[in-house]
Amino acid sequence: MDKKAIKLWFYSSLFWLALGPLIGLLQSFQFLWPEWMNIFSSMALPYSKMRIMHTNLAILGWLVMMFISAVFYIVPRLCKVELQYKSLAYWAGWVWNLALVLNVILIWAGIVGNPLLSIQPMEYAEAPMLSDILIVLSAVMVIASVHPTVVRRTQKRLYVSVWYLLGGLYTTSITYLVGNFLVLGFTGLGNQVIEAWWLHNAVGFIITPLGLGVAYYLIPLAAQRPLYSHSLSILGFWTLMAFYPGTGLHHFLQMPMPAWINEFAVISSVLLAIPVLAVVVNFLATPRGNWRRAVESFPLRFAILGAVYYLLTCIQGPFQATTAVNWFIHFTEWVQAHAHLALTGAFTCFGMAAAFYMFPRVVGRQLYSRQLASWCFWLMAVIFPIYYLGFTHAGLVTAISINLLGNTIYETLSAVWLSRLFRTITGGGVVLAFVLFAYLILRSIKVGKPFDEGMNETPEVPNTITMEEATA
Amino acid sequence: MNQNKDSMDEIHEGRGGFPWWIWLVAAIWVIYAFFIGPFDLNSPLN
Repeated sequence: MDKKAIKLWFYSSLFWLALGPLIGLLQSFQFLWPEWMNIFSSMALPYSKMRIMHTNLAILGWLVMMFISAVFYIVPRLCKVELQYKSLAYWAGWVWNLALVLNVILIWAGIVGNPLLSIQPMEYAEAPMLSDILIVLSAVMVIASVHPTVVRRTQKRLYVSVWYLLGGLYTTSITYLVGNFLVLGFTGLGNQVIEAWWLHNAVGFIITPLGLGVAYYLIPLAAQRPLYSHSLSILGFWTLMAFYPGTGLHHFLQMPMPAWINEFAVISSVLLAIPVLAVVVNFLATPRGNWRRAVESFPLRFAILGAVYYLLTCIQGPFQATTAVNWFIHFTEWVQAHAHLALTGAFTCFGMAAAFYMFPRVVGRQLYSRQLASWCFWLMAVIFPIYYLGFTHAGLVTAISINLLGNTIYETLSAVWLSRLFRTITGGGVVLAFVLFAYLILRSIKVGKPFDEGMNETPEVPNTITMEEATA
Repeated sequence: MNQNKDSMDEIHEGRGGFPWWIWLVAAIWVIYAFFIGPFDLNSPLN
């Protein structure tokens, strides 16, 4: 049963979702009350280690595991063939989890000087080599299951989701190999160029194709409408593949890089507007004429919310990648706010949409509470943007203080305290959304009503009162 | 009960294109990014 693999990747991702953002919340306390640093440091968990755990678990634990779970669900259905080599898909989940557990333990242990077990000093690629090897092994196992599924399909025409999901698995492997292994063969500037390539493609070539592939599947089905445009979907896929690889160096515009590399990165970033517009127009135009489904269907609601956040983050991204803007906001929390808009906003919403869609169909039970699902949605739709604005505000204040007024970072700390407090409080609301989301799903395993195809994923809204009820 | 029939795997695809205002937005963006931004709004530190 392919359900075994889907469930393993699915439930694992919920665990990492509960843990990764919680670590981020604990990090934010340290900005407000620095003595918290001493508390965590006394447990061998200084801020630097917590930061690594936070990003690694949010990306590789929550997002990638949920999307790979969706790959196992979606690809066989679109190819009209069973998932091939299911045991590989299943055991790959355990290998991936083992890699993440080792990642956490080894980062915590902080072993020095061991090529296999030490933290590596590269952003997003800090995982010790042992963990890297297991991740690549697991990715190869996943591809060994999904690729033959696509090859042996009975549906001749490939829907765009299959392009994105299979392509995303390959780009995940290539990106991971380059960013974690090839990079070790270079020193100095070459090392940093590859590091920058990896840094941005961890989002653009791992999270993005997988997340968009999932959304391309969910939106037409949940909206019960045809996809708006086949040609835009193909245009979006190939322009993403063409323009994304060049963008990474926009992270290092302030560094002594050859100018042509920086210019190439900025131009690539600006050109990303093409795939982004193609994707977002397709997502937002598909439910036309049937928008009432956004009220009934939580998968559609979350996917559309994700599409809106995706549009916002992708407008912001090319904009801030230009030198005209980058000098101002670089080295401030503006950049982290942007990363959260992409990963916590857009792609987490796609992941939640996938979870809401898949759970009833895989487990055979409805999500037990429409109210709880609504809470998750509104926390993500209202509290998350406020959290993002608090984050951005802290970045802007820092930028003004340091880049315009010439203050030191120490003089700036008191100026951003309130916006950081605001960020922590609203960030707590976002973490609450994740905890409620995980609880909703886990509780539904026991108390959810039996689900049949054709039912809603959540219980119906009692929106009509019968004559008997009115007169009772 | 809402009829959420999705027939599992059949997704139909339309033949839509970019709406007209996307072309307008794209043109403004390209003009800004390539012709205005790099020349007019550089860092005062440069």
